[in-house]
Amino acid sequence: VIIAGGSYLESCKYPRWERLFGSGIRASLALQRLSPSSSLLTYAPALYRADVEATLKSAGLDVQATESPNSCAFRWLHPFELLSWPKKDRLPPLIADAEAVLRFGMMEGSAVVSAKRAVYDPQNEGDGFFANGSEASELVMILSESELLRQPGTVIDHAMKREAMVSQAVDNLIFQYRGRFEFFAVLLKDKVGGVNVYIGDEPKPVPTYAAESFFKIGAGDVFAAAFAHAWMERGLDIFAAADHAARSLAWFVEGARLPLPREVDLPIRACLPPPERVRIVGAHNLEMGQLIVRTEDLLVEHSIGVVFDLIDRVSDQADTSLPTLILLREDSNIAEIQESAVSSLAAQRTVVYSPGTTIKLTPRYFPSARITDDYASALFHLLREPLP
Amino acid sequence: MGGYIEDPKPKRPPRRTASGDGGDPCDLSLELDLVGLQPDVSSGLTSGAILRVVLVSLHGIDSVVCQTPAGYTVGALAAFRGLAQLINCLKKGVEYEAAVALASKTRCNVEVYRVSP
Repeated sequence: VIIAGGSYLESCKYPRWERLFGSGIRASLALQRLSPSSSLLTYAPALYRADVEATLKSAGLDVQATESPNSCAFRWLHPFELLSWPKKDRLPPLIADAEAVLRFGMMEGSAVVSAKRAVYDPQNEGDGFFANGSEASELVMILSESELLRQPGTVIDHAMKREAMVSQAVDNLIFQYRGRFEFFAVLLKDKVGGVNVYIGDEPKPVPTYAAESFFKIGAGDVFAAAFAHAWMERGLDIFAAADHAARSLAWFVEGARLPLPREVDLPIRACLPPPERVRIVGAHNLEMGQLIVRTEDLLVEHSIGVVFDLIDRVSDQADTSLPTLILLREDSNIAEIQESAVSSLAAQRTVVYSPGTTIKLTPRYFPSARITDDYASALFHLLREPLP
Repeated sequence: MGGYIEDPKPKRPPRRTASGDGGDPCDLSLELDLVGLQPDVSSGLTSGAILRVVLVSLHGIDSVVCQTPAGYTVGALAAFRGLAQLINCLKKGVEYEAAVALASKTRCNVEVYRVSP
């Protein structure tokens, strides 16, 4: 496989993370064991080009890094909130000519693909696969909903429900692309590890697999790499390849582990579909208010109903049996922890987000809850309950 | 995945000049998770354990790994700014250690610092 993708500095405040990855490096390292003859085409600034090359070469992988003038860095506050990203540039394209190509969108330029089979994860590119002259006999596009809505020809009608808008955008993409390939499919990702496969108009969900924690940064890169390996190199059909990628994703998010292991070592415990409604109980202050708003936005994107309660003001009518997420503060006191524990006694299951030193106090009040100091993991556990 | 900032750090020599501030370019210090983790080895480590930082050269490929005092490889140092410099410094004979901040069968977070010469 030729992998064409970026090499970027990445940093995140919560959890703390400062690495040199980007989709290209991450996908390459993900496939280090499974596809050791794969090679990376990337742009890299002089400032850290030697580090890009040293990283790939130390893994025994081939890399062709084209020098770019500017350093490219992505900064997250937490994995659901990107604070800053590099400016887009128009450097001469990279040429990816091979039987099988995994192409990621890049900030500095793009990769022109000539392949029998290609997988395209456009990321921030909104021009579509063909705009730069790329061609392939068979293509699978892997996108998030927001990336899908940036694709050419997509009509954004804010009066429409998001679900309908996404469905229309998928139809549009399939209409534009299907006639130009012997095979074309779309893999549409959500933000907490869920994926739907579209060959025609109807989505077919890919199982989500259980993980103890959810490290979201780069999870999409690993999913794409695993899918590309399974579909293009192993020749699995699209559903089997997507299932392999979903299991690989579950393996990666538990500790940001790279490279990916052999098939037999991947997780096999699937999750139930997300609940239709959840309850969130949070403290009453500004910091928590912002987190609740972000959480609500994310859940609404997933068409999940949300019921809110404040820790100290639980409504008499509250449906306390719903799967419940407790949002504690870094400095939550014992009374607050006790009140939130009492308010969730009737819940089918409880997930507690307990940051900072609060986490040391939390377990005694929530003996059967899942407790984490990582926000992304808390959401993942709320939405992805493992099958018994 | 929590725990990046809250875990207690093991005792170690005081940090020297950080990379890139105009001092000795081999005065590197960094904190990161290991790549290519060996879960059986990592799960046996505890916070504060000291690992050797070793340059492995095989068939012309240089990689930097962390090993237990008994010589078991825990994982590799890769995907960070300064890797090329770290390799150059190890080739010159500069020695580094890695203090384990957090270890499990899925993660090993270490702090790497120079020890000599």
